[in-house]
Amino acid sequence: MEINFLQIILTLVMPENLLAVVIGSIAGIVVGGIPGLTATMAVALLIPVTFSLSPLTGLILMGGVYCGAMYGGSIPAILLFTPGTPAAAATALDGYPLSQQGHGGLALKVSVIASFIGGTFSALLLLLVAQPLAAVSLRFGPAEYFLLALMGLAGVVSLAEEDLVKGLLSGFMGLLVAVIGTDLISGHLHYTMGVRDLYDGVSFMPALIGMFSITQMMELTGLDHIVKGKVDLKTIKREKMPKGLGKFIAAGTAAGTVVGILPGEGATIAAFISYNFAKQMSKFRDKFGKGNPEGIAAAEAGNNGCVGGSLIPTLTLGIPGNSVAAALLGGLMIHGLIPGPELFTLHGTITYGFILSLFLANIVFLVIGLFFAPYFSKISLTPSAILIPAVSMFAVVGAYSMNNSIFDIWIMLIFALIGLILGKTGYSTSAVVLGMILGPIAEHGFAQALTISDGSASIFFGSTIAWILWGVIALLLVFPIINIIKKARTGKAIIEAEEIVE
Amino acid sequence: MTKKVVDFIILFFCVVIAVLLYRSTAGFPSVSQNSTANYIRFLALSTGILSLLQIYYSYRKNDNDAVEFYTNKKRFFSLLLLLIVYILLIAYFGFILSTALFLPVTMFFMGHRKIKTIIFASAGLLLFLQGLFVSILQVPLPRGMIFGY
Repeated sequence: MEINFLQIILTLVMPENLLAVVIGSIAGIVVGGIPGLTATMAVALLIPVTFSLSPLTGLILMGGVYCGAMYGGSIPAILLFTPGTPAAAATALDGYPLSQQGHGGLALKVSVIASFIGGTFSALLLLLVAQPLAAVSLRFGPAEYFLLALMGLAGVVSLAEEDLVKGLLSGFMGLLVAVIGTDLISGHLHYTMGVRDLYDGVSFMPALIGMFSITQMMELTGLDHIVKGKVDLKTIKREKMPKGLGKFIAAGTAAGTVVGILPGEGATIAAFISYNFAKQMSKFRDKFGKGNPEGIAAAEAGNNGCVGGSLIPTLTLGIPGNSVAAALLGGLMIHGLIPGPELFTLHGTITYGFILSLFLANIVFLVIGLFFAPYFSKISLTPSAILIPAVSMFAVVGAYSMNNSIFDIWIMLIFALIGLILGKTGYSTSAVVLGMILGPIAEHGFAQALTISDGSASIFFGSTIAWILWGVIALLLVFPIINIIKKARTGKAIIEAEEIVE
Repeated sequence: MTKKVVDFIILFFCVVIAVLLYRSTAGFPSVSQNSTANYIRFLALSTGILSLLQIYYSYRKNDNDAVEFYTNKKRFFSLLLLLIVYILLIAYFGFILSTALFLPVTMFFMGHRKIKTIIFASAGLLLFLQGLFVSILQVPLPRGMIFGY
């Protein structure tokens, strides 16, 4: 069946569809910008709303929310060190220090442009190569998923390059927390201490909110404002995009799209992997974590690149790339649209109309981001005394709303204290969170692979993809280790030289 | 307390957890002995080895600076206490009532003295929350045991 793109474009530019793109994108930015309200939640909440709409308009609305939320999460991450979505946690690492230096506007500008490029490229890829790429993700078995999780952990090393062992240990702390709960292989309860709320494990979202948002609010108790002085809107508007960000945006986009295609992998992992790649590529590695725009560019391109990528297996195989895509899949199926070849032929107008609407959604958030970013940055001038209770309130709602559990609010507070102690002693809280996210993927991959192979570890070396993943893991580990050895030698040489001088 | 001492406490805790975790795998059902139990053993061993390695590094390092967990002791502990009370209140009185109390009190304890701003900011935040979360998004907020909200 031939697809008439002219007809699809004409359908897309109908007023109700354009309105759906704009409303969806703005709603996505708002939802993404509020810590704890995730894109998944917003898309899921929209499903009943779409009943009264045509399938295409409903999907466009959900797609707009998805794109907008991925970008929106970066706004509080940059201005308040409070990631609006988990995927924006990597953005906060360099975005917030830039805000503290009075360059919040610049950070927001980098974020929106990188998000736009990442999102647009991944939508283009979705449009062009959805079906062939989906076949690759089908070849991923449990062993490959375990290796993918290891790859994420290897990335932790470059997150904490200055203290390699502490960085790895932080990642393992996250993995250890993630083993709490029910074992999917045996149904056996692990380390739940009889607490019912722990049967499904420790939810990473309250832990993330605690370690990022509440810890930051505790730090703010010693400051009157995030930024001292005034925010000059004219200066912010004039701040030019730093040069040389192209390769970091490209790396983030590529990594985000590829990670997004893999079922079960989320935008958070995509953002962290992209951030790590950027750190490896950068000439200014020392500035990472201290306000390097390269980190923001890669992380944002990565998490927005995930949008198109995650929809590839969703639309072609019915396997959602992540939880937002899963919610979107629910919306598709409610309208009688079953993923598979027919979606691209029989329902081609709807499917391609939806994919094309993602480009429009990216344009909408780009315009909003560029024009309103300077005004967003004024948030950093709000007195801490007002900001602390306000952010704490949203954090409480965010922690509670994932599972409707007051227990999760306590988890948030406990992890805030843990995050404070770990952060002050040189451990990486980002690595802990990443460990918690990767934990279930690693555990299930490892356990299932060994069950399939009857306990033989050879399964982890049994495919080309596995070998490629081992290669990437080695690459991720080798460079930081070489750097550390170099630094140690230089340090030793300096000490020896000082001794000779003395 | 110095950074070195806090670090030793954390690492000692990690070693103890690693040992306990490793030992706990013996009690796993036979069906997961070759799978999940091995995974946990792998984690326990890795954590144990990394912790011991870090103990060695920390021992060699002269990190005797005091750890500053807060810069304003009074406000820091006030916030911590207020958060604990807030969560306890939510469980009994529900979200809206507890938040209506938490917001102005915290603003005051964090050093804001303009009563008008406190009242308007608290009311504005509550209205925004009620409008967006409850009315539009229909996100369930915690209900109390004594009062619904």
